[in-house]
Amino acid sequence: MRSLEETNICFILIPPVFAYKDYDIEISDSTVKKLGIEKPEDVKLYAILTIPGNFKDATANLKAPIVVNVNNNKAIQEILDDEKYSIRHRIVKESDV
Amino acid sequence: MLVLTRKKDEAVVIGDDIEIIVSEISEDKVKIAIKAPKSVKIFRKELLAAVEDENLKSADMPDLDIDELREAFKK
Repeated sequence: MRSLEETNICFILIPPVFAYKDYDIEISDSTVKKLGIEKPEDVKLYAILTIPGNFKDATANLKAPIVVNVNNNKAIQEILDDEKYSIRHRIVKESDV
Repeated sequence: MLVLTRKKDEAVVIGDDIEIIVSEISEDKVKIAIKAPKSVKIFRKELLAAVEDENLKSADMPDLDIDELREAFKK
């Protein structure tokens, strides 16, 4: 994802299920309204990656995913009040390193 | 900024449909109950700050090699 105004700003996104198998969230009413979401199939979720130098330390922000309405390409960063998901969820397991 | 003093079980009302009730007071903590429409977003402020901070970090990865990233994801 790249900023249209500041083209040197970009985010690396992954489907959250890559980082968390049963990723499952409730999208707030205000986001549903703002994005014009009509049905579940309208929605695609992405998690922003942070990679601090070494790839094995990469983390995904599962607490604040990007919710996209694929029909109109409107998107919002949804912030979840859910203890289950972390802002810095490691995506490379220690055992894989 | 408006500053009000409230006792336990007292409340303040904001606008037509938001009510904040002081439900518990202890030495250095208060528990508040908030009645608001579902469309109103309510967050702990430090969570918003943490998300903002993480976004800035994610947008600032000058050393990131996209090809290397692609390779790593193939595994």
